[in-house]
Amino acid sequence: MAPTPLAPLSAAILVAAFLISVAPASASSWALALKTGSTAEAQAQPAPPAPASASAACVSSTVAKVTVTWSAVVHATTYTIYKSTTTSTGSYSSTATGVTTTTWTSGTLTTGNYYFKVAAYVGSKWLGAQSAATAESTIATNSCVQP
Amino acid sequence: MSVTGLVRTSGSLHASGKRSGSRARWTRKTKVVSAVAGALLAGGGAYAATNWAVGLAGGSSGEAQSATVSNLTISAVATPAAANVMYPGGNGDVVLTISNPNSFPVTVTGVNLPTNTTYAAGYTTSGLSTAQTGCSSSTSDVIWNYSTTTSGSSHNLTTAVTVAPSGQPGNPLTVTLTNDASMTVAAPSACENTFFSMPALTGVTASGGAATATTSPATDSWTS
Repeated sequence: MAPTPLAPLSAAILVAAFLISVAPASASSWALALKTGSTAEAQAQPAPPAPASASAACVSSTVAKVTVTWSAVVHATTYTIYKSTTTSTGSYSSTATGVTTTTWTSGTLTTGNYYFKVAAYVGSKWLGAQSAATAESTIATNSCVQP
Repeated sequence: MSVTGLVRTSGSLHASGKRSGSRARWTRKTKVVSAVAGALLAGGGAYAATNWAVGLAGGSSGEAQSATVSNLTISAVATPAAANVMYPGGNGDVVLTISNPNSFPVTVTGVNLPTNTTYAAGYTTSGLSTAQTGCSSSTSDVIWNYSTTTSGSSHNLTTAVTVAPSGQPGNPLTVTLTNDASMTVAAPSACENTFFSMPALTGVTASGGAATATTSPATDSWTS
């Protein structure tokens, strides 16, 4: 049977139609809704570490104040300072909160021996461990002695 | 996640690119009519396939149609571990895998996020099997970074990632999303040292077709 004039045209159209029909798999774009429960994983850091290198120093030998310094804790928001007036291993109570630098100076202290520890907050609720105690600071009337 | 149940949002569904198996001899008139009809249908299919919304039907697979993408799956993965972990007031990396069961590559160009009040659930280990007490999806304060008050907010990946066809290297594709998890400054201390199953994405934007598969593992992010 001799080819008709329309045969090449129809064949070409069929080829084009087929190519276009498979185009969605090769050039389409979808907005996909995802099944509830699809997951990805993230992780949070541990509790803040204790500040290192906490130390205390008299402001001067004639002033009953002590300056405490320590090393910064990564991501720390604030620091809390604790003091003990018994021994280095005694009971500590908070004496300053919300400190945003790595140094803090006490108010005028009463006579006695003082030890200090520091802890870091990351955010408003993550409180890290307390540092090692500072060396003893001895306060007398209008004097400060740092052994 | 599984993606199934195609819902056409525009145009008409094109069922298949396959030709009929009939060996019957066609008349010239039949050929012309069929060709024109085929072209029209195919054109309609191509148009319709440019914008699919895919409904939820957990676990089932999609249809074997030319414009169907099926069962693209996003899963949590523990390896590689996030090098950049979250802290209150800070961001952290998210790690996931994307599996593509289709016979063609799928390129993901963006994501849709849940609201910024949809929190991640905390777990004690990277296996995400034991819940972390006091650090649940009600309390963790861990959200997708850049999520908004509107569910489904769209965020483009810095670099599109292409998941290879099923059974080929690069599928599944492991992706670390840099700094795309966020923890508020008021996160509870119960969430210290915790692993999180991030809230489900509400959608992704993807395209199918010829593309070079991304090498796994990859690093990507959205930054706005």
